[in-house]
Amino acid sequence: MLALSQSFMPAQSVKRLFLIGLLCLCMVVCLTALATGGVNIAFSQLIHILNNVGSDSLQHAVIWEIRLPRLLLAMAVGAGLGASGAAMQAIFRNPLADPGLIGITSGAALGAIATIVLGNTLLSSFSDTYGIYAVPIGAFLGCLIICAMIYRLSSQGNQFTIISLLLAGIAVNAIVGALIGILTLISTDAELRDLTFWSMGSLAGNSFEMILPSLIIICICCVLLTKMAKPLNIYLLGEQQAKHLGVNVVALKKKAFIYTALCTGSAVALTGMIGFVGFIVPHIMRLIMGPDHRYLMPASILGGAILLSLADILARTLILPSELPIGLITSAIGGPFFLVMLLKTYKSRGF
Amino acid sequence: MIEAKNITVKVAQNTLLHDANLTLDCGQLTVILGPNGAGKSTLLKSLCGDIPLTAGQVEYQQLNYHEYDAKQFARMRAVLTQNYDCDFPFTVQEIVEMSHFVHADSTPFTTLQAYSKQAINTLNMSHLINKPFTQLSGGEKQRVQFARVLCQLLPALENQEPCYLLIDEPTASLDLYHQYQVMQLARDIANKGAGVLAVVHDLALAASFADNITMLENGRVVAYGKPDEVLTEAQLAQTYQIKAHILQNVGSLPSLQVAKQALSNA
Repeated sequence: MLALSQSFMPAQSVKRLFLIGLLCLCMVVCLTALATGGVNIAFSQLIHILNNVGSDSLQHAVIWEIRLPRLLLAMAVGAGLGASGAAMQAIFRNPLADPGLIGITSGAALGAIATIVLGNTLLSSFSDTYGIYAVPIGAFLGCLIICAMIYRLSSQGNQFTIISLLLAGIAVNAIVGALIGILTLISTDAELRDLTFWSMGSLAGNSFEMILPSLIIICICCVLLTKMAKPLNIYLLGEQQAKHLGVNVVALKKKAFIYTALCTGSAVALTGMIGFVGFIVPHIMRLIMGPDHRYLMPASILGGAILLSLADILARTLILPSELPIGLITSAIGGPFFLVMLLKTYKSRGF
Repeated sequence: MIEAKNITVKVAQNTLLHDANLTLDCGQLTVILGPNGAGKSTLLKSLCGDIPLTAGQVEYQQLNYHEYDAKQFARMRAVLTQNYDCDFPFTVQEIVEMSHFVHADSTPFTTLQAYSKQAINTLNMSHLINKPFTQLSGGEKQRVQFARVLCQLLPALENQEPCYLLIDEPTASLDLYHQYQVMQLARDIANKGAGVLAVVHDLALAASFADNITMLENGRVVAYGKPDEVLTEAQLAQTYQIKAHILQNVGSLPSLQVAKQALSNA
C-alpha cells in the first residue's frame, strides 16, 4: 500500500512544482516587459518607479501609462485565450478544437469590421456615441450576437449536442465570412487598412480605462472555468459516462460555452484577432503535464499570459520605432515551438 | 430493488421495447439475453436513465428515478458501457479517481483514495496506474473502466447501502480468460451486496454466473427465471431459431452444445 502511494505521489507534486515554475517565469517576463522598449529602463529604476505612484518623469509616464496597461492587457488576453482554448478542447473532446469553432472570432471580426466600414454611414450614431470605444464595443457585441445565434441554433429543448453545435458553428461562420467579404468589398482604402490590421491583432494604444472592463470579465471567466476542472475531466471520458457519474452534462456544456464566449469575446474585442494562442497553449501544456484540468487550466492561463507578453515584447521592439502585429509573432513563436514539442512526444512514444 | 414497470420505448415509429417488466434485487446477478436487435441495450439504457421512456416507469428503492438528483443517483448506480473512446492521455489512476467526484462531498479524500486503491488492486492493475489510458489494450481499458465503476460503488458497498451496477456487454472485446474474469468480478460484486444487471451475448457465460435471466425477443420479455428454467431447448429454439442445449459436466462451468443440423434451415 505504501509503495503504491509513493509511486504516484511524484506526478502530482511535479505538476505543482511546474505550476510554481510557470508563475515565476510569468513574473520574470512581466519585469522584462516593463523594462524593455523604446525607452530603456534599468531594473533598479523600475522598482523605484513602481513604488512611487505620483511622479512626472518621462520614465514614470512610460511605465504607468503605456507599458503597464499594455502588459496587463497582454497577460489577460493570453490567459483568457489559454483558458478558453482548454475549455473548448474539453467540450469538443478533441485536442484540435479552438474558440473560433463557436463563432467567437468571426463574430468579433464582423462587429469590428462593420463598425470600421459603416462607422461613417449606417452606424454613424453608434460610432459618434462611443468614440474610440466604438470598435471594441462593436466587436464584443458582434461576438455576443453570433455566439447567441449559434447557441440558440444548437440547443433544442433540453438538448445541447456537440455535433449540432459544430454544424451550427460551421454554417454561421460561413455566413459571417460572406458578410465580412461584402463589407471588405465596399470599404475605402483607409478602412481596408484598418480592418486588415485589426485582423492581425494589436495590443497598442489601450489605456487603463479602456481595458478595465475586459480585464474584469476575463478574470472572472478564468476563475469560473478553472472551477469546472473536475467535471470537465469526467466529461472527457464520454458524455454518457459523465452523466452516469452524476455530472449535469448539458449545464456543463452551456456554461463552458458562455464563459468561453465572454472571455474570448472581451479579449479579441480589444486586441483584434490573435490566432493560435487558444489552440496552442493548452496543447503544449497538455503535452507537458497531462490532460488533468485541475492543473491544465491554471497552466494554460499562466502559459497564455507568458506567451502573449513575450510575443508583445518582440512585437514592439523588433522593428523599432514601428511595431509588428502581435498575431504574426504568436504564430511565428508558437508554431515552431509546438512542432518541436510534437516531434519530441512522438519520439518518446516511439512512433 | 430496481423495478421496471411496463416500460415501453418508442423511437420514431419503431417500438424498441414493449411493455417490459423487470426487477433486480440487491445481491443478485441478472443477465439480459436475446438475439441482436431484441432491445437488450435499450432495456439497460432505460434503467440507467439514458433514454426517455414512452410509457411505464423505473423505480429505485420504490422511488421513481427522476426523484433523485444526479449525484445521489450516481452514488447508488454505476454503469459500465461498451465503448470508451478517450483521446486524452489520462493515467489509469486518474481515470479510476474520476469516480471520487460522486462522493467528494460526503467522504473524506483519504478514504476515497483507499477505495480507488482497493478497486485497482481488485482488478490487478496496480502495475499500470501511471500508464496513459490511450496506450492500453482493449481488454485493459475495459478493466480500468471496471475499476472506476467499482470505485464508484465501493462507498455504498462498505456502508451496506443498496447499490446497483448495470453492465452493457462487458465481455465484447475480451479474450476468453478475461471474459470469465469480468463475469466473476460481476458475480463477486453481487455477492458483496450490489444488484448487478448485465447484457451478455454468450449463453454459456450467462448460464455460468447469473442468478436470473431475462430473455428478450423483439422488444418483449419472453422468459424470466433461473438459468436452467430459461435456457431450455424449447426456449432457445423459439428465440434463437437454433437447436441447442446447455451442457453441465461435474467440475466445469456450463457450456453450450449446438446440434449439427441446427443451422441447416437458416
